[in-house]
Amino acid sequence: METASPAPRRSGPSGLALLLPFFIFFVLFWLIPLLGSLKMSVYADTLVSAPEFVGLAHYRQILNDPRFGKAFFNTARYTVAILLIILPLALVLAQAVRMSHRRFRPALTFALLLPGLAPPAVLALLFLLVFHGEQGLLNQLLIMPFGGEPINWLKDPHYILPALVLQAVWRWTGFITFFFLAGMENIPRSLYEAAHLETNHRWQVWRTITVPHLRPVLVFAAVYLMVDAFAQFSGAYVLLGGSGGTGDAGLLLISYGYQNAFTYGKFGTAAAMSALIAPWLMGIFWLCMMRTRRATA
Amino acid sequence: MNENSARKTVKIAYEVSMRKMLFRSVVSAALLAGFSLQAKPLKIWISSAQDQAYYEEMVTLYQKKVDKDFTAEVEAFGFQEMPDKLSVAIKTGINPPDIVQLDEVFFGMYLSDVPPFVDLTDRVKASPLATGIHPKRMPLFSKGNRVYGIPQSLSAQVLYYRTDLFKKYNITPDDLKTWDDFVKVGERLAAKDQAMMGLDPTFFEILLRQRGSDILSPDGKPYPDRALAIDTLNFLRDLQTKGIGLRPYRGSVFDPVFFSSTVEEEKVICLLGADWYGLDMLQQFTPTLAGKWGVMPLPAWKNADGTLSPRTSTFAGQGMLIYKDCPQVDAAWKFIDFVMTDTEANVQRYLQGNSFTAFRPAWKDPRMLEPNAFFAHQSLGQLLVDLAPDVPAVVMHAKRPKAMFVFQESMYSTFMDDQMTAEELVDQMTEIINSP
Amino acid sequence: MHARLPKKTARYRPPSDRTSPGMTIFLSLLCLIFAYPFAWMLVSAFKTNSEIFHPLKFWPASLNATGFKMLFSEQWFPFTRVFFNSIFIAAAQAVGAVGLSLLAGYVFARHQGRRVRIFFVLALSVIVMPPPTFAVPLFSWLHQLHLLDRSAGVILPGLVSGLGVLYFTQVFRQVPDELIDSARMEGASEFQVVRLLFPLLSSAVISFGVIHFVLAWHQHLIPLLVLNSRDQQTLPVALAALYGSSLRFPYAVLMAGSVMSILPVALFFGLAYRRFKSALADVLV
Repeated sequence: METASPAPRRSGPSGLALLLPFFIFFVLFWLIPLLGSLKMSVYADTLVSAPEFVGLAHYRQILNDPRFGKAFFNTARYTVAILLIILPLALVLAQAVRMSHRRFRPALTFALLLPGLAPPAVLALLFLLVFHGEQGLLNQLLIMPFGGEPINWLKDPHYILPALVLQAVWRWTGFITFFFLAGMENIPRSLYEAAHLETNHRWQVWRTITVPHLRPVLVFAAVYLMVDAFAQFSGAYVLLGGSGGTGDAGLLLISYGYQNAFTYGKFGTAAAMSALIAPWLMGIFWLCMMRTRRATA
Repeated sequence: MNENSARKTVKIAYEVSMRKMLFRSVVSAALLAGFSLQAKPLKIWISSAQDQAYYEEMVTLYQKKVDKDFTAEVEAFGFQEMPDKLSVAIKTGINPPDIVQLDEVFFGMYLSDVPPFVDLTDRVKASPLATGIHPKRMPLFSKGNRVYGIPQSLSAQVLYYRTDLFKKYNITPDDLKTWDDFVKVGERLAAKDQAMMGLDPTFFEILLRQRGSDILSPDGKPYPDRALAIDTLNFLRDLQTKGIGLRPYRGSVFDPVFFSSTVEEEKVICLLGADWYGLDMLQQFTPTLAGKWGVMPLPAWKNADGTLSPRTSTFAGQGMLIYKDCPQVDAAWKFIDFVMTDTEANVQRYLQGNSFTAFRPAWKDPRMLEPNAFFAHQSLGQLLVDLAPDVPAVVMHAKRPKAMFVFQESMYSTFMDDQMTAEELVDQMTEIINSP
Repeated sequence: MHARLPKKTARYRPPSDRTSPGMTIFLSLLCLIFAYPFAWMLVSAFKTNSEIFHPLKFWPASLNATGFKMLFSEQWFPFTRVFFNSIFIAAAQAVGAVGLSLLAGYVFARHQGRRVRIFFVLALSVIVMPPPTFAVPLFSWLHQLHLLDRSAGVILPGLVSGLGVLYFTQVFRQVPDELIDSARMEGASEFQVVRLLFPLLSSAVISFGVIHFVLAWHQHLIPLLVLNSRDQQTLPVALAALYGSSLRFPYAVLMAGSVMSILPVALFFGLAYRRFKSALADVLV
């Protein structure tokens, strides 16, 4: 509930002093290496002899590279898909957890977290078994019994990206549900009481109280998922081992960056790629947050 | 006056003692450095923990047989992890190893520049390795005429077959002397819905090499014999179309689940692979089929002039290299030389690591030629020795990793799915390989 | 701040008290799917390699304890030490990141001005360029700082969390203004205000702590590059070293190690959940 409040404190010395710890580490362990990366991105890719300055050559090359475009397009689709699936699903699950029997709640919440806790190396093996062709678990247990044709998730270019989306949904829905649960616990009861005086409809209460209050958490969850899609290597690695699969159908920006850096040894190009993607991401985040700011003002 | 001269004396005395201290510390530092240079253990980087066990044994063996003061630290980091760490160490020059055992797949990227490894050409010339290592394998870790690494394995390709299923379908190894024979037999079986062989993207270059060409020319030109490349691609796809070759679900015969599904269900009756394929993968993943696998040479190709191609081919392999800035190159070389020439070391690498050495004198050891119970008491070693003279060379070039990787990961499947012609594949790959 | 509501009113039952058995069952089924990886991992710790790679065979033919034996015998790497490293590194990052982000989040939520906004944007840009994207320059820089092959070399870069700043900024935005204003009017310094608010935030602190702990626990590239010696490594990196290109090595060891690695998070979660529940009562106004 936003009551009228006196103007927030102008940033005095003691206020900004609280920023110091964060920004010391920020400069020491983020900014300095980042500048090193930017420097690397304008030098040649040589591994042994002293690299020569090449200016924006890497950047130009990347923008002309059709595989980069493909990776960008794949990553965008992948991100949108996981946002559209995980966020609503997690909301529903969080509500479901709150509606389930009290005693089961800790166990249920923990079970939801488990997929996110599993080490990527183990998940790589597990997904090999789950997403395999005819013998894979997904086909054997959920598709073939219902009369469907087995899908070759890992090789059929039409299904590689869906397989990536599925594994992300599996891994992260629980985590996001956890965030929402934490957010829901923070909603004051008095609000529900007041709302209950006006309507008995659970759905209405949910729509007018719960969801708006969760908006900041929603933004956070969306950012978390976007970061996972763009910057976490484990997702792509777990399913495809870092490659893009048939026709590069599953090539994500992060896997392409990794390929450039470690398979081809082109560290400068990889650095340029990260530098190119970053502003885009920032822009998207900023948009998300601007919308929240306005909504809760 | 007195004060000034006193001060001067003190100053001079001070400077003299400082200089003495400096001198002493320089001398002791040099002594220490020299001393520690002698005592510093060699750092050896390996991919897997089991190889690490082998090299630690080799260090002990070396200490016993050659130099008891030798010390080395063997470190394993993982199949993909070790090369990642290596490339960062080389790029930054920080904490590199002295010796590294590298798979050929990961060596290619270092060929675009001066390889960051010691040029071993002259040392090899002065060693039994010069004549001992199979000549076609030596170029695996070379650039031009300069040798940068010693290849460890012969990597001869053979055909593993199910003796019981061959009997069931009335086939003998003699029926498969050429690939034409193979297709004929395959068609007969395909009529009964039985496929012969699993297919893998690596077979393209393996077969191409068997026919005398390769995916790159020594100066980096893609598909030097374009017609042969197209024909080989179409051959593979025809095998699939005719039901003779079966593409595993994950596209690769190196997939463990391939064994628990396709192989176990007897959907294929033979597999093409190197020594470690049969010894590692078949034994691990088809333990119940012990004694039911046999080994035979590959079918040959009929050349245009009517002669037959060799009955084997090759693919990849591992080698030992010395980092260019290693402070103890001589010590490192002596160790590598030992591991690669000592018979016991070579035999152990076969028995423990399932890797048949490229060092020919070691083949005389009876343990290399012992019959394998798993292969119906055939001697895999003997077959490899028989095929060895025909093993072709792999053309090494900086563009090789990209050529292999892009083909294996995406182009091959698109082609085998009938989504492009062989000509289109070759053209697209050429463009990709030629791009920077 | 600690006022309690009267117990259930006659008509109104808050959502969390309205339980539904149908929902419980549905959720339990769903959780079976989510818990499956862990069950599979646990069971696979007792399988041979060929059994593990058989999708339809869930149970092993016989309980083969080689996986756990190899792990605990420490013949391949010092498991206890490595396990402890992982816990320590992840926990230190969790605690540190929470601390730094909390303080920063407070300022961004409760202070205005162009300078503050600029710092806010800077802090958030950490999200789009996480450490693995500049692993190589980071490696060189840590070498210059003499932090290579030490836990600190992994921990310190991991303390900078843009996600954390975002998270705590929002958390602090939701704190009722009256609390902060009253504290400020009583002359509390900003730092004291934060300390005062801390109990209110326990569930937020724990939630983000858990998230950051898990992310840190799974880190692969940075620990791989920074840590060298066997007794400095973290568990995921040490386990990766066991596996080469040949598939000879028993994957049961990887499974056993991974089962062990879930345990600290399970414990952490168990403790956290209690704190979670008791913090609830304090949050309500």
